[in-house]
Amino acid sequence: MLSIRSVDKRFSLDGPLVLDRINMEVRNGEFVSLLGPSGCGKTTLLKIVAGLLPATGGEVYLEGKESTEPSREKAMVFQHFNLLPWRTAINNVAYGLEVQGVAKAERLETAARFLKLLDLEGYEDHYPSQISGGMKQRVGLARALATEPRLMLMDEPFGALDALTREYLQDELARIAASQDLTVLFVTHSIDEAIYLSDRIVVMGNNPGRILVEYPVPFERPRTSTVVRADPRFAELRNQVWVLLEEEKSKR
Amino acid sequence: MTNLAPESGLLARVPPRLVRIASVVVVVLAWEIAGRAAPRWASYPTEVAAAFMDNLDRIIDAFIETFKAVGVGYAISVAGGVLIGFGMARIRVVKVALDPYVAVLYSTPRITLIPLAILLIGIGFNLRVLMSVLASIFPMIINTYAAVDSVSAELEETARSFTASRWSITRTVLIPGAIPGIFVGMRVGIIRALVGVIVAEMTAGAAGVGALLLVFGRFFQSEKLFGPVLLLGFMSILMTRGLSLLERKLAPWQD
Amino acid sequence: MARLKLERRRAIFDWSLRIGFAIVLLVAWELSTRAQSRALAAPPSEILIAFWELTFIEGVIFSETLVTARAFFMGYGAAIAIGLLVGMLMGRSRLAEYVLEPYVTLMYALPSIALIPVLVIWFGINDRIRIVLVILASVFPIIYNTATGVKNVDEELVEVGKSFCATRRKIATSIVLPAALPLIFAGLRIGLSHALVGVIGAEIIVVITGLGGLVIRYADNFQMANMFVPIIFIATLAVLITAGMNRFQTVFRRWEVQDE
Ligand SMILES: Nc1ncnc2c1ncn2[C@@H]1O[C@H](COP(=O)(O)OP(=O)(O)OP(=O)(O)O)[C@@H](O)[C@H]1O
Ligand SMILES: [Mg+2]
Repeated sequence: MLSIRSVDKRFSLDGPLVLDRINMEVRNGEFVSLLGPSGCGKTTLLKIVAGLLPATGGEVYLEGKESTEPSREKAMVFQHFNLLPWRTAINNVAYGLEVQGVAKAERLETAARFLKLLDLEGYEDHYPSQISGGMKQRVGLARALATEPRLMLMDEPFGALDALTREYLQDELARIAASQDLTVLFVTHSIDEAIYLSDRIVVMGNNPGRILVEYPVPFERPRTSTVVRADPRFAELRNQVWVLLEEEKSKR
Repeated sequence: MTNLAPESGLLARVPPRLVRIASVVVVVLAWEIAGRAAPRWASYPTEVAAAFMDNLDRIIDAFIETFKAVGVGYAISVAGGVLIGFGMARIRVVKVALDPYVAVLYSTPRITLIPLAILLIGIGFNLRVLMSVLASIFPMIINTYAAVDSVSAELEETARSFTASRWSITRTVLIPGAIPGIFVGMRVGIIRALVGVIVAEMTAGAAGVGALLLVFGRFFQSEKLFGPVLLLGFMSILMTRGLSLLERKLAPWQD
Repeated sequence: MARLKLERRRAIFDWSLRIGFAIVLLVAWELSTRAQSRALAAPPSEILIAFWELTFIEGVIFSETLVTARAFFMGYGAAIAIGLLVGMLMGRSRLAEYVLEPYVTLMYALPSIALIPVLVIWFGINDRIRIVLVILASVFPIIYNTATGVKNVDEELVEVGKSFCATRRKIATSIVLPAALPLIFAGLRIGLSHALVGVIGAEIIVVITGLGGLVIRYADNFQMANMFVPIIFIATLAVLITAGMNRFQTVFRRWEVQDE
C-alpha cells in the first residue's frame, strides 16, 4: 500500500540531515506506529508522506504510484487539531469534502454521519472555541475520516488530551480503523498507546533521523485494554522499546 | 476587572448608567451657567441647540456633501487596502517593492500632501475623495497585511492536506482568518477617511462640514460651531459601532 | 567554489528590486513632470537642487523644523502626562470611569481637526493653538488605552501580589502597570500619529508656521520644487519619531520578547 523508499530530508541546502534514508512498507489495512525521541523527524516524515513537504531524496509510493502531492487517498490528523475557527463543527467535518468538490447536501449529510460516529451529535453548530479539547480532536478525526481516505496519517493525535478521553478515543479509533479497513501511520510518544493500537511499531533514532528497529505486535484483534496490559508479552515489548528509547536519548 | 481601590458602598448600589447620565447632566448644566456668563467664548447648550435648529438645512446639506466624499473615498480605501494588503502578504515581490513607501507614508501625516493634491486635481469633489483615500488606505493596507500574515501556516497546511487549491485556500482559510484584522483597519480607516475629507474642506473647500465650520468660526459664532462639531463626534461613534456590529455578524466565531 | 548563501542572495535580490522599482518611479515622475507645464509639479532633479539650496545654503528649513518639533514634543509630552494620569485614574476608580467615559468616547471619536475653528475663537491664531490641538488629538487614545489596560489586568496576577502581602502601591507599580504596558504603548502609538496630524494640520490650516507653514507658503508661490523640501523633512521627522517610539517600546517590553 505505502512504500517509503530511501527518503532523505534537509530543510536547506547546507542544513543538517533531518531524515536519513528512511525505508518503510505499510501493508493494506495495517496499523503502524512511529515512536522516537522528540525532534527525530516523525512529523517531517509524516508531512512528506502527506505531500505537504518535498523530500530531498528518495520517493514515496502509494499503491505502486509515486506520490508527491496531497491526494484524496490520504488524510492527515494534526497534533493541534487545526480546526478552522470560523467554521462550525459540521462545516469543519465537511471541509475536506467541500474542497474536493462534493455537493453541499451530500457533504453535510456525510459530515453529520461522521459526527454521529464520533459521538458529537448535538454539537454540529458549535464553533471550535465552544467545545472541549477532546471534542475538537474528535472533530479533527471526523474531518479526516469523512473524506474516506485509504491511508490515515496521524501526528500525535491524542497528545494533548487527558488520560480518560485519550483511552476512550483510542478504542474509538481502533474500532473505526477495523470497520473502515483503514491503513494507518500513527505518530505517538506513548509506548503503551503504540502497543495497544498497532500491528507494528517502528522506532526511530535521532541525529540524523533514521529507523532503528521494527517490532511486530503479537496481540489478536479485537483487543481490550485490560487484557492486553495483563499479558506478559506486553510488559516485555514495552520494556524493550523503553530501553531502546532511553539509550537513544542519552546518546545526544 | 481589577478594582484596586474599591469604591464605597454607595457606588456599588447605583447602576453605572445612572452615574454616566448624572455626569452628562451636571456638565451640561455647568456649561449652561458658565456659558451664559461669558457667551462669546463657549456659548451655552440652549443657545447651541437653537442655533443648530436655525441652521439645520445648511448643516444637513454640509453633512451629506461631506459623507458622500467619505463614502466614495472609504470604499476605495477598503477595496484597495485589502487588495494591496493581501498582495503584500502573499506575494513577496509586491511586499519588497512596496514596503518602504507604505512604511513612510503610514507614519507621515498625509495632510502634508494637500497643497500638492490641490495643484494636481483642483479643489472639487475629487480632492476630498483623494484626501480621504490617502488618509484611510494605509491603516487598511497595514492591518490587512498583518491579518493575512498572521493566519496560521498550520491551517494553510491543513487545507493543503485536503488537496485545496490556491484559490480555495484563499477563500476558506486566508479571507476568513483575516476578517478580524481587516475590521480593525476598517474601524481606524472610517475615522481617518472623515478626517481626510474635513481637512480637504478646511484648506480648500467651498462645501461640506469643514467649510461650514470655517464659516461659522470666522465670525466667532461659537453657538453655531458646537452643534455640527458634536454631531461629527456622534457620527464617528455611530460608524465605528456599526462596523463592530457588522463584524459580529460576519465573524460570529469570535467569542 | 564560493556559493552565496541563500539569505545573502535573497537580500541582494530584494535590494535590487527596491532600487529598481524606485528608479522606475523616479524616471516616470521626472518624465511626466517635464512633459507638462511647470506649474503642476516639480521633477525630482529640481527637487534635489531645491533640497540642497534650502538645507545647506539658506538653512531656513532647520529653524522651521525646530519650530514644528518643539510644538510637537511639548504637546505630545503633555498629552502623555495627562493621558497616563487620567487613564490610570479611570482604570482604578469606577466612579472616575463612569463619570469621564462619555467624554473620552466622544472626544476620541471626534476628528480633532474639526476643533480648529473653536480653538481659534478661544486662543486666537497663534502658536499655542498647535500645542493645544496636539494635546486634544493625542490625549484621548492614551487615556482610553491606559484605562482599558489597567482595568483588564488579570485578576489572578493581582492576587499573586496580594498573597505576598504587597501594598497597594507595590501592586500598582509591580503588577498592574507592567501588565497594562502593551495597551498603554498601543495608546501612545495611536496618540503619536494623531499628534503628528495635529501639529502639521494646525500649521497648514491655520497658523502657517513651521514645516507645514513652509509647505503652504511655497505652494502659494507656485515654488513646486521648494515645496517638496519641507514635505521631505516632515516625512523624515515622522519616520524618526515613530521609529524612536518603537525602539523605546522594545526596550521597555523586553521581557515579552524573551517569553518567546
Ligand atoms: N520548517 C523547518 N525548518 C527547519 N528545520 C525544521 C523544520 N521543521 C522541523 N525542523 C527540524 O527537523 C527536525 C525534526 O523535526 P520534527 O518536527 O519532524 O520532529 P518530531 O520527531 O516530530 O518531534 P516531536 O516529537 O517533538 O514532535 C528537528 O530538528 C526540527 O528542528
Ligand atoms: Mg512532531
